[in-house]
Amino acid sequence: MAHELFIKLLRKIYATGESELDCERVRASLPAYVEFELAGNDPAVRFPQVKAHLAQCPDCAEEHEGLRAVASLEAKGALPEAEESLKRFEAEPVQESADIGAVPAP
Amino acid sequence: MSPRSNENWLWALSEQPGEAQAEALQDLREFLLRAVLVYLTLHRSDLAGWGRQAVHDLAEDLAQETVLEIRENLAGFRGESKFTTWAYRFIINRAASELRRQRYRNLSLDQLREEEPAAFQAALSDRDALGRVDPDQMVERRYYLNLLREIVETELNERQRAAIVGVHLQGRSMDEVAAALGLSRNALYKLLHDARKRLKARLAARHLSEGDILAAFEG
Ligand SMILES: [Zn+2]
Repeated sequence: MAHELFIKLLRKIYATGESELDCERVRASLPAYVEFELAGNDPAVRFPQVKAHLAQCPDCAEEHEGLRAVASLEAKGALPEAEESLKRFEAEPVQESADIGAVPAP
Repeated sequence: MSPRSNENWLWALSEQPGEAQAEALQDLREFLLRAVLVYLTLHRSDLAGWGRQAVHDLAEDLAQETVLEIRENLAGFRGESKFTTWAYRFIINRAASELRRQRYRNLSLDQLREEEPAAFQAALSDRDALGRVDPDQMVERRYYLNLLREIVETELNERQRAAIVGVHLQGRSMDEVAAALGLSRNALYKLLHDARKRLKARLAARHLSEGDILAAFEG
C-alpha cells in the first residue's frame, strides 16, 4: 500500500499542469462529464482538465465514481427503488463474506 | 413517477407553491433517496454495523438537505446534463462527505508532522513490494526516496508537506486533511497543486525523468 501510494505520488507530480481546475469547478462539471462518458466517449476529448483533476484528487474521484454508478443505473432504467436498497441493510451486521446471496433457510 | 423533461422539472420546481410544485418536490426527494441509497449500498463497508433504520434515517436527512440545496441552486442548472444527473451530484457530494467524516479521527497538523518520516520509510519497507527486489534495485529505491524526501523538506513549507504526506503518502481523504489544516477542500487542492508544481520543477532541474524513477520502483 505505502509503496503503491509512493508510485502514485510520483505519477501525480509528473502529471501536474501549470494550471488545474479546482474542486468546485470539477464538481460542477461532473454531471455532463459522466453522461458524456456513459455515452461511450473518451472524456479526455471534451473534458481534459476535469479528467486531469480526477487523477489528482481522491475525493472528487470518489464522487465521480458514485455519480457514474448512479447515472449508469438510471440510464438502463435500473435505479432500484429505495426499499430495494434498504433491504440490503436488513441483515446486521453487514456481511462481506462469500455467503452473500445464499438462499436463506425456509 | 412519470419521467419529466428538464424543462418540466425547472418549470414545476420554480412554480408558485401549489400542487405542481409539491408533486415535483416529492418526485425529486424520491429520486434523490434512490440515488443516495445506491451510493450507500456501494459503500456498505464504511457502514459496518449500521442497520436498516439508521441507513434509512441518514438517507432521508441527506435527501431533505439536498432538496433545499437544489432549490437554492436552481439557477445554476444550465441544461448541460439531465436534470436528475445534475441533482444527484449534490446528494452524492453530501453522502461522500458524511462517510469520510465517519472515517476520520480528529487528525491534527502536529500528527501529520510527526508521521512524515515514517510515511516515507513505509514506502521502502512495504512488504508487498519487497517480493522480488534485488539489492541493486533496493539501493536505487532508497536513493530516489531520500532524494524526494530531501526535496520535500527543503522546497515545501510545513503545510504543503503535511498535505502531501496526508493525502498522497498516507491516502487520507482531502476532506480529512483539509479539516486538520483548517482549509476548504478547494483551498487544499490549490495548496497541493502549488506543492506538486514545485516538486516537478525541482525534479526537472535535476534532469530526472518520470521513467527513470519509476523504473526503480516498478517491476
Ligand atoms: Zn477535487
